[in-house]
Amino acid sequence: MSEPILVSDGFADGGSSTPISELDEPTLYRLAVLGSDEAVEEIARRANGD
Amino acid sequence: MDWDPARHPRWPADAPEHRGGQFADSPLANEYRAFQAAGQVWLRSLSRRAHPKGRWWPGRWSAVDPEVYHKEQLSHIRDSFLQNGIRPDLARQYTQEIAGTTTPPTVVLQNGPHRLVFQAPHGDYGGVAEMFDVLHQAAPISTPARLLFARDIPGQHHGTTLMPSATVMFDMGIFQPPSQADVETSMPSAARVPWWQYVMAHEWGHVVGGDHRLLDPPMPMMQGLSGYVYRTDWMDEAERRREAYAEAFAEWFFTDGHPSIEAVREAALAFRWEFPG
Repeated sequence: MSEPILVSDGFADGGSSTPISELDEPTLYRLAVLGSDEAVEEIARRANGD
Repeated sequence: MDWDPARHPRWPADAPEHRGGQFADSPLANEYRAFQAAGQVWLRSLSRRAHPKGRWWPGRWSAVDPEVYHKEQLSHIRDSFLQNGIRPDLARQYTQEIAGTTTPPTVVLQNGPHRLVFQAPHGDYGGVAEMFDVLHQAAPISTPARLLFARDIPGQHHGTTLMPSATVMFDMGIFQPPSQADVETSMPSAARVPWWQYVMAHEWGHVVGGDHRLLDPPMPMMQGLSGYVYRTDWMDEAERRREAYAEAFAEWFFTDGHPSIEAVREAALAFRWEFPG
């Protein structure tokens, strides 16, 4: 299964499709609180040192 | 649906009264008050409209206590950490860190499995909910959707979709008028509907499109759409396909399934977009 990605549609700042593994922790935290299980799993992955 | 922009006032990212009052009598201030009033009136009507069952139903949105929502999310995160093999003490530590760096939303609406989360004190919540319902009727999504409207998130004046889930974040700038570049590099509908509605439809396209069907080899149809996809120079082929899909979906949606652009018509046939009878 491919890695979850963010599809950012803003072109003013360049925009891009970003692998979730490249997001910083504040963004992951916000996504996790919103209900993104992918963000929670990424935080857990980092915590486990994977 | 009537897409008259006057029916859904824009949502100014900065309330006029937060600017020292010099805009108190400006058209923007009046627009903001109308927008705020529409949202507050709609919120007060929710208790009479909430549907008793746990499934999505058009127009049946109910309000959730934002503090309760935030605590439920944190509890879910802690449980997920434990299920992912993190030691209990570390799971607690990470959860506390998340709790300390995030704030509860101001308004949370639910309709069956779907949530609309607002981190702004005022807004036309009813307009956003109505837009959700119309999109869901035109193109149902199978996973629980969470749509967040907030400041300081990725995608200034745009939306950001987390794929393959249906978590979508919207920058508050979408409630401002679009730039000329926004309109010129979007489908024709962007010039005649409120920008926030266009962005919602575009992101909905990402959600209903997912990632799977778009990994197929490029189709002539997609090539025909490429001229309507902004700044394709920085995109790889997969990104171009995703954006073309979302743009085509938005145009199809706002033309009630009768787009004038041939490539959009071909996309609707290929992906079996169809308004309910």
